[in-house]
Amino acid sequence: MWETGSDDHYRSHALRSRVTTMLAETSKSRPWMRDGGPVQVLIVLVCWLVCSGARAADPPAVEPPKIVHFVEAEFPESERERGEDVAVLLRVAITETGEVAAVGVVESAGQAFDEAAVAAMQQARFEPARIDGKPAPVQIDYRYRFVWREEVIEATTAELVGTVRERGTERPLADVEVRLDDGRSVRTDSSGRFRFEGVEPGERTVSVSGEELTPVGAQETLTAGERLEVLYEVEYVAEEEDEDDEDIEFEFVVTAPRIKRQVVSTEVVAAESRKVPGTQGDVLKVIENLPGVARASAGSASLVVWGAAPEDTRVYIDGLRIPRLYHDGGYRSVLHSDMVRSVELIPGGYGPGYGRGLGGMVNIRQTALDEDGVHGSVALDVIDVQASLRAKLGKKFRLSGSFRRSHLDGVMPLVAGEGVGDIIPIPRYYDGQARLGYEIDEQKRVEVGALLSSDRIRRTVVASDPTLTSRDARAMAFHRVYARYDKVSEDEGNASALLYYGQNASTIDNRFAGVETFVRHDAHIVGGRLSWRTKLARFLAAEAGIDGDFTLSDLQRSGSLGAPPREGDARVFGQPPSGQLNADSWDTVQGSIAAFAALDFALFDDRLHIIPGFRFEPYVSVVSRALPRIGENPVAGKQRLDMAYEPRLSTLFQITKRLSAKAAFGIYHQQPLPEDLSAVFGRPDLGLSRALHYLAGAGVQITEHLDVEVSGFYSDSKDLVWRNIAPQPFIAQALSQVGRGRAYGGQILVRQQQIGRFFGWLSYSLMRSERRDDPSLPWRLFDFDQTHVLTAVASVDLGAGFDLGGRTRFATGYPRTPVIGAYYDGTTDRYEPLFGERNTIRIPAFFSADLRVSKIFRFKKRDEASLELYLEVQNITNRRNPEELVFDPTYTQSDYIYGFPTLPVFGVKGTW
Amino acid sequence: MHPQASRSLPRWSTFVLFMVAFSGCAPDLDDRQGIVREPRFIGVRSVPAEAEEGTPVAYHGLFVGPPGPLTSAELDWALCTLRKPLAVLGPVHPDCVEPSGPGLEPIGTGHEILTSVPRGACRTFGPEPPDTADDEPPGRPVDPDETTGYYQPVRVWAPGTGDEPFAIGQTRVYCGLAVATGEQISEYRRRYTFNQNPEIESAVLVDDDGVVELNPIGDDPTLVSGVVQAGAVMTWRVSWPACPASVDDLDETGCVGAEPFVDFDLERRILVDRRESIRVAWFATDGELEVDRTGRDEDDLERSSENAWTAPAEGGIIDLWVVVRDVRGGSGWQHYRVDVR
Repeated sequence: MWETGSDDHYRSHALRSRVTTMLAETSKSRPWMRDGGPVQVLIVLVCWLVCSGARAADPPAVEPPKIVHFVEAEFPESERERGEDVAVLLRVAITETGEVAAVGVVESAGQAFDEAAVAAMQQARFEPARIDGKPAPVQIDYRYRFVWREEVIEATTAELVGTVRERGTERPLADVEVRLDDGRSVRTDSSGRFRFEGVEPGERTVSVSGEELTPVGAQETLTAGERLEVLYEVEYVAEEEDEDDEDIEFEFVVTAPRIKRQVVSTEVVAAESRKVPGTQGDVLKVIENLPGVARASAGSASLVVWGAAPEDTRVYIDGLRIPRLYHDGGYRSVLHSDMVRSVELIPGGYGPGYGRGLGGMVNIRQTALDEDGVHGSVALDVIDVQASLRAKLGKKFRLSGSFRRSHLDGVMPLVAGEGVGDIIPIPRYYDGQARLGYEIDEQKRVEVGALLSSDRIRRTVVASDPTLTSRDARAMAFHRVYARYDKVSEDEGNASALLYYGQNASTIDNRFAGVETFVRHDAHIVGGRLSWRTKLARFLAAEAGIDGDFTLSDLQRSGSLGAPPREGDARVFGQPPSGQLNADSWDTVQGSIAAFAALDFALFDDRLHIIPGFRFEPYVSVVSRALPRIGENPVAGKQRLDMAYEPRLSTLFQITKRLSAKAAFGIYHQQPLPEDLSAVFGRPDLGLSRALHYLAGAGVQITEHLDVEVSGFYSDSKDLVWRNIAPQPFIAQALSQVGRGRAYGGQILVRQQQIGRFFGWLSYSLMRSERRDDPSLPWRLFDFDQTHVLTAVASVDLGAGFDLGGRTRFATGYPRTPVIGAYYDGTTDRYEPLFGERNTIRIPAFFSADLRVSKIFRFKKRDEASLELYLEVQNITNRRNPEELVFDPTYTQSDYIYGFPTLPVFGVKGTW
Repeated sequence: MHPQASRSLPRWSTFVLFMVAFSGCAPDLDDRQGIVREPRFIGVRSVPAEAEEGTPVAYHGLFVGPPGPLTSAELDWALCTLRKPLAVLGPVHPDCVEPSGPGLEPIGTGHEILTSVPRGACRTFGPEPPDTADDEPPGRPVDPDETTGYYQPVRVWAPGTGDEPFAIGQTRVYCGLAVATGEQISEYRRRYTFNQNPEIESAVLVDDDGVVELNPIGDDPTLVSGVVQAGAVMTWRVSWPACPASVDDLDETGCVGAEPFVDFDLERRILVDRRESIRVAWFATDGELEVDRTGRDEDDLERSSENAWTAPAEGGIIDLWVVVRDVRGGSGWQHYRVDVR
């Protein structure tokens, strides 16, 4: 009886089954027979027939035939489910030469088995039977047995199959090249499917590329004997840029790979930014590692981009502007990382789709609401606790939500003792997001959402002199609700509509050195955006839209004119404010409706893009009080209307396949802060500030995943608001609007996208930012100017779920104004500093090296459940980094407040 | 470095530390001011504390050093004539803290100088808007302090001593109310009483061995207020006179303690009755002070304050000063001398 093998029905795990049939009488002699198997041998020789010359009285000597060539029968595919031994009894006619002359079925086991057995037997050869020593034809009955036998195969290769589809539409993408790091590549079929067989197991890198697709990479873990099924969702370049594609060439993006991957049987790979040391897994904190961004002081949430003031850089979440990116202290962003698909920094020169800001732009793209099933995460570290949830509701609805709350105020007293919260400002915050998406059809989607954020700091430092007891109470909260409609169609163009409403509420209630400061700002924000883009011709695309935003503010302020201080003030850290006080309360309405349009001329086979654009924006400003309150004088307000004309131009020239050049220009306007429209503390008739951005640069793609971008920039700002320096200013003119600003420099970004086990980037910025607060004053350095900012980030996948990341940063210290003397104030019993030229000295440079190690434990491969533990160690060299220049009370000694020493941060995150 | 220079976080320069963000390390600076280690001003006052334009006023400087009062120092006085620009966050125009210049009007030398409050002080340093041209908007008045007070600054300089320090003093100038209603202005004028410099009624050093009454010695170098034991830890207590509880109970001469006064609340736009807070600054030429500043808030009716002073381990003559200040810019002081044995 013979044994033959074939693949079992498909199984995804390591075991594979093989069904064998064996011809028992020869099994022991055949080397390919499996050892130890329950080979059942059955010899059935039913009869043999002597054809001629046989005599009953003298029976001949008979030798049966012996098989010399066996043909293995395939186990019928259709019968694999049977899982048991099967036999077919055959009647075989054998010639005197050993040939099989005929095969017939005596006992059937089913058509499939019968046919397989007959076919195999017809190809067999025998040593002929012998009768009296002579070869003779015979007919025998032969039981051909298919023996079910399962055995473990030590598989050595893996299989990778998957689908590539377009993000958003979920349309399968055909003819997309999928490349494996062993050199093999395939193209997706019409269903977007691809398949690699015989893949060497381990960490493998897969890249997806195609026409108009940004090459992207993903890392997969393949196990021998397994088949890994993956789904890659990719975007076309043109669709990534939303309304402002013309500025893409100046968006220095280091984001999570522009690919959303949902791996069916393994965990979702964390985005690059989560692995960057210092982020504590917060995706949005990666921004501080990007070129053009000044390093913020420890405990500061300032975002200084290309020398612009922190309040001049705008932060958008899918087109929805939010008032801040980070919570107090800068330890966390205001948006849960699970809600973030990517974050991009646009330092300047962006297109006409956006405005109202003199500086750069941070554009946060949220994760798409497209996952099936229920997914979520829970995370905990020393800073806060986080949770997120994503679920599909029915066929059309998808829901996601997240929440975070800090507990530093609980942790810090355990480490530093009770009362530490009264000494240092420990941020207390929470934030939450909720989104509900509805898929109208493959091209249209509607989403409603809400997000909120709240920060609070409250502390009191009791002094031995109760009149000097200090109090610091600050709160900042905002929320937004929005509705968005998106229509994506290659033929008809893309259209989107966004409506939003929100509130901001901030309060400062301080008592410092006996001086009370109170600032309250409550605002209602309402706005919307309509945008549309389409391709008008093969070489021409167009974008147009309307963008409106109005803010109604209710403000109240009392205290010293110098508290809170302004950028550029000659002061030292910790200097008490002046004892001259005032108070005011006022309302403002500020807003604008912009119409914008851009054309994208694609010339020379798309190698040259010229993108002119224009934004026309009338601004309105209404202030309830034009003059300070005096007695019972009637209240008179102030209104003004300003027209802003903002041409924008971007060009990109793909000189060669690997070399490109780019340039951009734009004019930008910005309304004054509502706080500055006070008749007492500010100036109600403030108008628009203006900035011109000039950019030029080049990009070199060294390899498919390694590129270098070099850029230079110059920005010129006019009509900036600063304090009125007149010896005796007019009433309601505490501020003036004659300031100038300029920032210029260059930056280089060398970026290795995640390919293989490694990703990283090196960025260096050389910048100078200056201000001239009044035409009569000399130029001075901007308070946040940093000449050199160097950041190196690298992360390597060590395998087995371990990731190791490193970051080094070097940054020039911020400018400060030297103290050249001091005098004693006999009334306040304090020394007061005398200053030299503003911002002519600097805090020493900053350097820090940080490490991050993480380990991911995977629990259910197909369900993406995992547990991540991470340890971040900041400032591993324990360098004493000066963060701020301070003086003793007599201003005769100076020293620095130093940043964090070596600081480990441990966290854990569970994801399913 | 002073032995107390390095200390726990809460005690290091409250002003600066309060502003420290959540960073790692506080600086290593000496934040103590109570022990006099070099020639310095520890008080400047105007007598009277509050006056109207054109009325006489005397300025006194308390300039001391490790040996005691530096009465031989030639103090140079000048009135400041420049309004502080809005961009200057300090109390006076920087040009007023110079030996001389266009912003200064010299008024003489000495530890006490007589002059008068310049006419126009309420326009330069007060609520009266500065002059402007006819086609210009009115000028911006000076913001008052938390007691609706306005001040004429005076500069005092000690050339030839140590680092030649500068100090400023101020006379509270009565300019009335400027932003209130007519009715409020009338009531304010009727009920307001000029501020008086606070005075120290008594001072004692107390330890387990008894009480040492500290008698003021003025500038007489031969007098000693009392005798204390070397290394003794003593409670140093000062008190000031009692004042009526109500503004309406004050007579025209006012009170030299924590006075009640009428104030205009800028936020609520109403007149309010308040009581002065008193701040106490403690100085010694040697030994160790537990704290440098104490005081009583305006809600605290106690009229004394105390500190702890540890006498030096070695004997000698030690000078002590207490300076009291009220919230309306008035100040007063006393000088004591103890023989440490």
